[in-house]
Amino acid sequence: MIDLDDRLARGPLRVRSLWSGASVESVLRRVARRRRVAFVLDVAAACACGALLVVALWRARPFAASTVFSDGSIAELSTRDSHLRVEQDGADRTVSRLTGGARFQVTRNPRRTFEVRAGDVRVRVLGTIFSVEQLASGQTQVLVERGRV
Amino acid sequence: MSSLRLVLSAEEAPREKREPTLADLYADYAKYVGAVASRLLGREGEVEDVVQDVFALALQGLRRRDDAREIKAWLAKVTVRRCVRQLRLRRFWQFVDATPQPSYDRLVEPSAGPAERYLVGEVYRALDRLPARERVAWTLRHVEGESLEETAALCGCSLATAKRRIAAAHEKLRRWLEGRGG
Repeated sequence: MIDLDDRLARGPLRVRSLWSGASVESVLRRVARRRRVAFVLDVAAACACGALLVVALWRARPFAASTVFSDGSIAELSTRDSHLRVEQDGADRTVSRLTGGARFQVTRNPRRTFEVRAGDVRVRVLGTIFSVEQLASGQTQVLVERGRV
Repeated sequence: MSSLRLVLSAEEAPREKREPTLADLYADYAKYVGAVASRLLGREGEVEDVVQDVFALALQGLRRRDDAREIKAWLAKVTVRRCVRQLRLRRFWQFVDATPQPSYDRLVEPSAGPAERYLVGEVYRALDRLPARERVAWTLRHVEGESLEETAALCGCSLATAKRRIAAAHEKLRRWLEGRGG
């Protein structure tokens, strides 16, 4: 029967050291290893920061994807997520379907219709500069810089 | 310049007149650190790691501690902190650790009798089930033989907290030993 309280009343438990008595070189080896690991971690952290910076700069760069139509009209997508699909690009009619936003610079030609479809909205123009933007609310915004749409 | 230098060879100047090197510190205190770590951890393989770690940390941590007592206290505190970390790691890994329960036979002083030998083994097996902070506080008090104040200082907590941890650990140990039919 072990009575812990009774035993401890007589003093601390008799436990001996398990330390092997290794030399100080083992500590120095550990210090050197720590320094190597710290160096590798520093380098890795610096690389990670550099990579993040490159990605941030890449994503922040101006976006200038543009489409030139056969009559010289130009569409410039406003964001990376925007998408423009040209459905017709004939002599008398140009139809394109837009997702996202774009700025259009349409060459004036009374005999040619230029139409942009964005969601349920159709924008038809003769010659003008305008932007079409699908908003997060589901609405489509048309901004006219010059001319009429 | 740091008061500690990585100098292994003996310097020309007398030892007491120059700054202590790592080798000096190691020669003076490794045995003490090893003993404290042994009592707190109870396992040989971990003791060696902790001793090496503590002195590796001493290279950076000990700057202006000229007084031997201050150095010893600093090393003891770092040893306790390092052991708490080791014990937490042990508890974390125990679920995936497939190694059988360690034997604590080597931990008992050779001159101890069979009853003491049995008690130490059972106590350390019970300590393995305790949270690290409770275990360390109890061990410092009842195995290392520290005062309550010193235990609190080494654990980095208030005297009341140290007492609470020791009492909680003691209660659990007593119940465990009773459950074992000891």
